Amino acid sequence: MVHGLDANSAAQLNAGLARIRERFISSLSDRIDSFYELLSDLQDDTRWAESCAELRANAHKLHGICGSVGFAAIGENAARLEQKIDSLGPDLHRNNIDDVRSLLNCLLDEMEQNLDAA
Amino acid sequence: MKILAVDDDELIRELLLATLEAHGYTDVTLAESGEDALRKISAAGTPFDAFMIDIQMPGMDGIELVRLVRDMSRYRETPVVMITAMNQKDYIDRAFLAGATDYVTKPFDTTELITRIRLADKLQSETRRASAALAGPHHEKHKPAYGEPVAIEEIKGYVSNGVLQNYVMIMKDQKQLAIGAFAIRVPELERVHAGSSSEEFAYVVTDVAEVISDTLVGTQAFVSYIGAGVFLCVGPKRMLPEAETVQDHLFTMLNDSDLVYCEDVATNFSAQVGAVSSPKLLERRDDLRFLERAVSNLHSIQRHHPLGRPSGLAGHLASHAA
Repeated sequence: MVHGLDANSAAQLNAGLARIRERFISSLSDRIDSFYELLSDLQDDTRWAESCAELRANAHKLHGICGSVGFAAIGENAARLEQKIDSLGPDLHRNNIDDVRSLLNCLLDEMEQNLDAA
Repeated sequence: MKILAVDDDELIRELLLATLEAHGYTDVTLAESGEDALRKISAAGTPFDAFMIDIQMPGMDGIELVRLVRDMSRYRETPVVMITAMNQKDYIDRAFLAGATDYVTKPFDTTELITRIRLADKLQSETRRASAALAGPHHEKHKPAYGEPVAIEEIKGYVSNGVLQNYVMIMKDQKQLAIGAFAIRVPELERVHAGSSSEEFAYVVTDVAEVISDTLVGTQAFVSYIGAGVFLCVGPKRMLPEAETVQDHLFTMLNDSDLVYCEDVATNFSAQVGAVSSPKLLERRDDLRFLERAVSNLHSIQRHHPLGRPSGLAGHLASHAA
């Protein structure tokens, strides 16, 4: 029962949320592939900064949606990655992205575990 | 209520749609970017009654979109609920300064989301009633009482009372820093109210609000007029200025006729500045009694100095550290 809703509306909302959750699960595999590409680009002398910005944008999106569709742990990992990149700010350069790489690996582990379990 | 929800994430848009529709808000338009939102606003036959806008989007971000929306005369007062995963105070302040009226964070708690939309619905209804009353042919006959708030627009850092309360609840929710509130009373506004039209009174209150806002520049405080000559100021406690400093600045600025001018009632202005009040540790998020305490702090000043500006400020005019 969803707070403040009659049975029909609650059922309608739960069905809608279930559909969104299914679509999120279907998107997980592509999201993982995309993160692996970015992980690889972090090694690239010419593309690492651009990859970091894209990584932050993807992590931000993931952070926004995950908790709402029942994948809070992925969301928390994504938030940590986003915050790490934000905290580096103007100090971001190639030598200090080890933490970024490490947090990205944690996020990927979490995503893969959830994909396997889904 | 006709709602425009703007978010670059398709799943978030669907989530908003599903949640709003299930709660009876069936007239929902979705936009995937700031640019798309502007197109949909231009194309809308009937205006939107509320906006839900994500802050961080590629291209035009949500804060820029709010500014553009507020520049449209029909949307000056329309509720705007910001939606974002970023809960840093800086983002919240920027959103409110741009004209947001409320804020929800992702991931969504559907109950919380709907509470914010219902508050937006209520705010919109109140605004409509106030506009209808002002637009009516006999609105001078129904001059708002002195104790009622006055609508003030386009002053940096100024927000309506409802928006100020939303801001306070968000700040309490985030628990990011200690907030404080203090009240300022300009007692001569009572004479201005008695001797002038409602339009002239609104002009003078607006001038006073602007002076208060200028006095608080750099403190990250928001100001609201709550009626009866009283302005409520809320901001990070450690940044709020000393009461004596505020009072001295106000006394000078309020009596500069280039800054505050009343055509109908000749008067000098004074200001009473109360001690800061802060939320107590165990008070709930929606417990706003500390705002009432801030206003109550003015009473002790009135008891001691019923005629306005006191000569010796140190004693009972407690410093903001009180």
